Amino acid sequence: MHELSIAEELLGIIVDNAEKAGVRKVVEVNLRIGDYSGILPEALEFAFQVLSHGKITDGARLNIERTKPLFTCRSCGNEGAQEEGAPEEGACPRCGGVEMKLTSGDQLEILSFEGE
Amino acid sequence: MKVNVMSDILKANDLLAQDIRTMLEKKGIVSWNVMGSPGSGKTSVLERLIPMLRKTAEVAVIEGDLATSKDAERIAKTGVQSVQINTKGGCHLDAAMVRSALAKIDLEGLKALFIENVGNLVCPSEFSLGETGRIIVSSITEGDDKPEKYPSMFRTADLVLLNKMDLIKLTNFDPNAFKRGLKKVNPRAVVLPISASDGMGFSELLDWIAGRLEG
Repeated sequence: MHELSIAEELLGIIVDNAEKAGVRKVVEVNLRIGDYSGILPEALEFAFQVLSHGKITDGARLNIERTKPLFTCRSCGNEGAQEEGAPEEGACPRCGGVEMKLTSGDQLEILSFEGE
Repeated sequence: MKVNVMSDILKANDLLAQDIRTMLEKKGIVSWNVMGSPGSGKTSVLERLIPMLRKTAEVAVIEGDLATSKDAERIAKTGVQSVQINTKGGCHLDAAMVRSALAKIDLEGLKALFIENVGNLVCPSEFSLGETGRIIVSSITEGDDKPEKYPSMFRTADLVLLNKMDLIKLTNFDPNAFKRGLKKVNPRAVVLPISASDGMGFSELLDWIAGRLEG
């Protein structure tokens, strides 16, 4: 959750970078949001649109790349993607180790934006 | 034209959190972000633990609540420095709030800092405070299915305190079901059954905390 405060942070980052690059109007914003980030893309889009009224991002489209959760075993380096939930019984399928680290899937990143 | 940014949207909080972490590490202070549902027993656990811990290590506490300074006052009675943050509606603490609170604490000689977060099983997990580790207080009256239902919170815990064990006979709480569920979302978390009201499990808790302090 907190899509509104995240949309505010996002807007701030875009405005700062746009100023430095001499961009006066933003038409597209490219984001990467992981399935495990706790952020609902629709809610973020809505909040961003609301905050963008009258700003350089007014009407800009949000392109959101989703990432799935990926776990890496700290013991043997084995990587596994999970559709839902966490590693089964917490054990690495290759070595049986229980030290699984989430190495992807919780991203909340702005990749780039386009404008003129 | 395309402008590449390639940054974490929450980096402002992460950068502040990193500053806090670095500063506390330099001073040899280990810090814990204490989270859990409202009423799970976070403050009660600290009230019982602190006098035990103070025998060997000096402690300070930062309390986070929407309103009132009730918790900071309870902690102050144990004799340690305690600072209250009121978020005035905010559902979690963030690094900026913790930094402001730290400015009110004399850090000299401190070995342990507990940051009691706002009672909430959802939001606090997203915001790093620069802590060394995370402790979740989960009371048995909340039910044994919470780890799987709140994975983003339980996934980040180093220690899960299963509180209110003195009441377990009045409920249908199944500790094995709880541990199985927790293991699925966080196989590394240590679980300690405790009771802040009668002291069960507190010598194990003291050992766990004291064993992770510097020097």
